[in-house]
Amino acid sequence: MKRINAFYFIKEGLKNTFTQGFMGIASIAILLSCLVIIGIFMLTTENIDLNLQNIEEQDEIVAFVDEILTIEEAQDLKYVIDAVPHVKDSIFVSNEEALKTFEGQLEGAEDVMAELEGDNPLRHSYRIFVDQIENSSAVADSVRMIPGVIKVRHNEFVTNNIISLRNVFSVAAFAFFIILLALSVFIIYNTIRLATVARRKEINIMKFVGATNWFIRWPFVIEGLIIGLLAATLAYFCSWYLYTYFVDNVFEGINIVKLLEFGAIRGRLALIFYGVGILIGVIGSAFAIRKYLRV
Amino acid sequence: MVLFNKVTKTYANGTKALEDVSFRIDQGEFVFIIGASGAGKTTITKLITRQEAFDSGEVVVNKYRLKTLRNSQIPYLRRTVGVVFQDFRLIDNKTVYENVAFAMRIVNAPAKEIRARVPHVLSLVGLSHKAKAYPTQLSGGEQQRVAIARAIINSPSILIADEPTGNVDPNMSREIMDLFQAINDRGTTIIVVTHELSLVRRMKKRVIQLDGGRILYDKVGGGQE
Repeated sequence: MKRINAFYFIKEGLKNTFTQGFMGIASIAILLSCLVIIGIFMLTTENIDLNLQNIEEQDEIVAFVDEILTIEEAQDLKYVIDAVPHVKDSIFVSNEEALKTFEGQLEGAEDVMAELEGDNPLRHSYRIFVDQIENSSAVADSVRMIPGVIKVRHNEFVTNNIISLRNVFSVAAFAFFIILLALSVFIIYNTIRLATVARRKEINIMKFVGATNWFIRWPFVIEGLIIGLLAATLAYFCSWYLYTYFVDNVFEGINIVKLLEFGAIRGRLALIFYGVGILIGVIGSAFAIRKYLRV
Repeated sequence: MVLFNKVTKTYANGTKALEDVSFRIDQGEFVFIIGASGAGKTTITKLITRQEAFDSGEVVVNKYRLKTLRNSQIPYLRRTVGVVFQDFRLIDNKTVYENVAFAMRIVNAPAKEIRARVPHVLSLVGLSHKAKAYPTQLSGGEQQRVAIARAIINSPSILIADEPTGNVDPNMSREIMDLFQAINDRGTTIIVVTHELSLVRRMKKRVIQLDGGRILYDKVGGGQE
């Protein structure tokens, strides 16, 4: 692009964006709506993912130590357990600590404790955490084989369900994102094409005077770029306002659900908005005039 | 220079527009192409500007052999051929000045040159005082003169006018023909497609008359009734 033309293209692109009235506003409004829907979808999936991660992090394996081992021998098992592949961390829980916890849980049933008469029927144990939930069954099996470990408690049913849920969610989220993107491209393409119909005479004349296809295309591409930038900026602020409103008003006091701060996702959101906005605006514009260039 | 050698053109719907048409128009000539509706006049202009491809034969326009012309070369061919349409084809939201100037921008002319040349060409067509007007504020004859100014602004070697007097009154038709003569006097080849025999007779120029896609007559001085 020669310098002399660059100024002309930018000037024409700006002029076209702001002088085509309703169609310009319609293009920005439709792209804005698509981006806000994509934004809401992204914020929702990020939060669902965060809560699934929390559930995953709570998944633990409990390994009970044979009571014939002394407390020192039981504590030494930590090195063996930590050496098992995919073990992220392990916490030793002595039978004394376990009894205290048990006592706390049995509040109001002091007579049960009295019946024990100072005996501790509980075993030393380990709370084992894995690096990824997919590995927890394999880790449970390996720990079960360690001499000195008498029993392993691991809720495979819950683990498997979390894995399935997350996998289904990932696939569904990706598919939905692609559908949403395709729909946005389709709507924007048609909106820009509609706006272009009004200017087909101008394009036709330019072709007869000897304009190259790119000379005609550039102002439309710049127009698409401006529409994309404006829609992305507006979508960012709309999503910010809507998300903050929901977090502050709708989910206030609901502690069971953990929610991301907007700041934690704003970078990715802006990247998606500007990326998708500019891409759809530019490609939509470039393709919309294709038909009229065949003169 | 325009050369047609045994050119045949059939449209997709089966209409045979040109059959074995041959003629040569040299640089600086003034030629009328006449004939009834469907005779093939407009097809000739479409082939010269490469709006349409032909089936067989050879067409050469200036230095371009159209049979082997690449799509990317079409804009450069069109820059050597100015076209004036019956319906003017002006951009309504641009002023007279802008309508003419944008044809220069397309060929990447410097702004300084545009500022100097556009007023000059507007004065040539007698529209200096209408530079700031919009096409809708002009009469048919004035709009046609804007279209002529736009067609000649880049100094094409050939100017094609397709029924240029179809939408203007007889007085204006004569003025437009005089304008074409003035442009021709500067060395530009003029090809006027028309069915107005009175104009053709008055100008006493070379006439190519078409009938059913074939050349019926190619002489200087006027066509047959």
